[in-house]
Amino acid sequence: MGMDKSITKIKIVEDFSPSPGGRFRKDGPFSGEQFREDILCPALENFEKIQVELDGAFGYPSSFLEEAFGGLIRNKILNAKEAFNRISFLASESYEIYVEDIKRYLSNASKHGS
Amino acid sequence: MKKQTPQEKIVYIRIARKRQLRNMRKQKQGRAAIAPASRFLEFAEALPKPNNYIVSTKRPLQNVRVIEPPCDFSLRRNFDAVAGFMQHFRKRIYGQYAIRRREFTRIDFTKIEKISPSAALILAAELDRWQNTNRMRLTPHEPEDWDPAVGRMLFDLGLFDLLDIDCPDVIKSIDSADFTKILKYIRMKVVDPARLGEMLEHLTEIAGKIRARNFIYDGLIEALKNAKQHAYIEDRWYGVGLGTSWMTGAYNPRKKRLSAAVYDCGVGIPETLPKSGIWEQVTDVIASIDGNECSRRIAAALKVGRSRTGEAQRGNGLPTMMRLIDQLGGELRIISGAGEVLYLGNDIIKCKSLPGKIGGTLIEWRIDGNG
Repeated sequence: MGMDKSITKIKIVEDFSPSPGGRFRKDGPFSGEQFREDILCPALENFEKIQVELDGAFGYPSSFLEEAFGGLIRNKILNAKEAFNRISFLASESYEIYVEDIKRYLSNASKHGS
Repeated sequence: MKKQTPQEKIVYIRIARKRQLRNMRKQKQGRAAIAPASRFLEFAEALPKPNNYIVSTKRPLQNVRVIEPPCDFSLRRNFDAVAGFMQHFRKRIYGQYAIRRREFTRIDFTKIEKISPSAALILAAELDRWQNTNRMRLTPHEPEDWDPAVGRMLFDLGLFDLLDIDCPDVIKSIDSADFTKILKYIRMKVVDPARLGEMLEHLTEIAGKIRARNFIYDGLIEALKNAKQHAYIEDRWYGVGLGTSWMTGAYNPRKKRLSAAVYDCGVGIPETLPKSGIWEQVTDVIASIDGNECSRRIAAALKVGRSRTGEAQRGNGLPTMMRLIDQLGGELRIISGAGEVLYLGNDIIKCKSLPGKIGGTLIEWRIDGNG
């Protein structure tokens, strides 16, 4: 299937869960691994750019974010440059800290071995 | 015969004892005895002959032991007594001595005059574990004589539902406007974020708008995940499924103090730390910390976690737990093994050596000035 050049939006609280969970599927529901495999990767296959909206969720545990986004690099789905180019984030002031976390996880996943 | 687990041994001893008593009654009545099944034979032959007072055609008397908790049931103010009580309770419940003598244990809750939310959570967790293990219900002494504030807290925590007893009206009717309000405890074997979200919604109802609620959520998820992944070692008996943890939240309206706690009955952070990916770095840092080995290991793990935030794939859980305190102030308290560590924000970590163990790991956040 050819990649659509347009941008798609993922609103985590509506498209996934208002309560993100742990790291792996075995930890419990709504894990970072589940988000990456079921939501993020299909979107990356079908769209050129993705905008991820973080607002509204109860929170984002570090394990969830690291596995969801750092896992893209480790599993060789994207490299860091592609990830920064293709994925953007929409977050209000109280969720901005998570955007910084995600960017740090992407950078470090690239440095520490994909 | 295949090797039994401790839990199976307890069950087999009970069954063997019942059959032994039944056979003795039958013999007294001149009836034929039932031969024990081969798998019980080992335990039936090892049991001492019961005293005459038990061998009766009537229902045998139950040997009831009442244990008294300390009147100040708070880990912060009275750690030694509370930890000692919990240890004594476990020995009476799970010890072979108690099973052989067919003793029943009761807790005299009328003795408790003050109780803190975290200690109440540990008490509820132990009672929950005991009922899960023994399939028996604890019958508490005279709940109408309990201290009203204590009774109300235990009612809100869910103890009466756990024990399947009616709460006296004198406790239910107490106006808890000045008392610490606590949420019903939640037991989890997997990290269920939806239930955690519901708990935070309930906490918001009793405490009002919670500042930086998202950081409380993040910290609780990490604590639950750590309990699930690291706290329990396979091939050991815990009385509950691997990865089980209990949590609750509380609000003190007089002090405007919000607290949330997670407890697991695993082996403790100091014991599992050597198997973690950060152990080498922890050993480098340990030497510079005062305290007993347990508190030094926990404190070192906090320091190492803080210094390598986001550097690697794993090990971001502890910094996440600390983040709430950095944002709002307050205190993160971790009790595990015989060590206690307080994180007060701005990289201030205090260690305390404890005289005993609580039998698991308690992680508690306390934030003042909410509401």
